[in-house]
Amino acid sequence: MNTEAQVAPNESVTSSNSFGGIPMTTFKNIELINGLPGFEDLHAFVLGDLEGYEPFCALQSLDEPDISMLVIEAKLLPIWKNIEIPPRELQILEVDKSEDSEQFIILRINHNTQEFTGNIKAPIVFNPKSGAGNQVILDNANLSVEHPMNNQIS
Amino acid sequence: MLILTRKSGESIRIGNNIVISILESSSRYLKIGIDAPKSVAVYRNEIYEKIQEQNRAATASTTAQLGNALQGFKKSKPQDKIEE
Repeated sequence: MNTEAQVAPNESVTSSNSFGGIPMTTFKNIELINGLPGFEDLHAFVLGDLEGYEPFCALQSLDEPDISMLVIEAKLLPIWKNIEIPPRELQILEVDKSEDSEQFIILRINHNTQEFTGNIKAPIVFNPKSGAGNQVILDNANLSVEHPMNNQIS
Repeated sequence: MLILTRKSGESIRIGNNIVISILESSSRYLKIGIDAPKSVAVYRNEIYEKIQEQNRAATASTTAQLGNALQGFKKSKPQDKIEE
C-alpha cells in the first residue's frame, strides 16, 4: 500500500496519475467489497472532485496509485431516471432504498471517436454512511457498457 | 474441469452453502437457479468479462489522453449543462 495515496477527506491532493495533474479534492473513502471487476484485489478507494471540472470526479485506488478512473454521479444523467438498484444489491451494502445509495458511472474514452462513453450497465453503488460499495451489474439489456456520454451531457 | 451430468429438477451443491439447480432444459437453453449467500456475487460470465474489459480500459484512459479530453470538454461544454 502506498501511504502517500492515503488522504483525509476534503484534503486537496495532486495525484501523479490523475488526469494530467488536475488537483483532486477527496470527499469520500469507499471500500469496494468485491473489488472491481478486472481489479478484484483492490478494495480501498477514494472518491474526489476534479477541481475545475466538476461534476467530473475521480475514483482513485489507495492500494495502487496508478489505478484511477473518471466517474460522474449517475443521477446527473437523464438516462438514469427510473433506474433502480436491485434490493439484493442494496441489502449487501446495508442500504434500505435505492435513493439512499449513491451511484457513480465510470467513464472512458472511445479510442475511435475520442468521445466519452459511460458504463451505465455497471454503476459503482455505495452506502454513503458506511462507504461500503460494489460495482453492481444491472440485469437490464437496454443498458450499455459503452453508452455515449456526449449526447447525455450536451 | 469437473463435469457432472444432471437432469431437470436436479441440483449441485458447491461447498456447504451454494446450491445450483437445473430448473428447466430445452434444446436451446438451460434455466438455472442459484441459492448462494448474499456475500457471493453471481454474474453471467460474458457480462462480467465485458465489465472487466471496460474497467481496464477506463483505467488505461486515465492518462494525459484523458486529461486532454477533459480540457477540451471544459472549453466546449459548460459544466452547468450537464443537468439538462
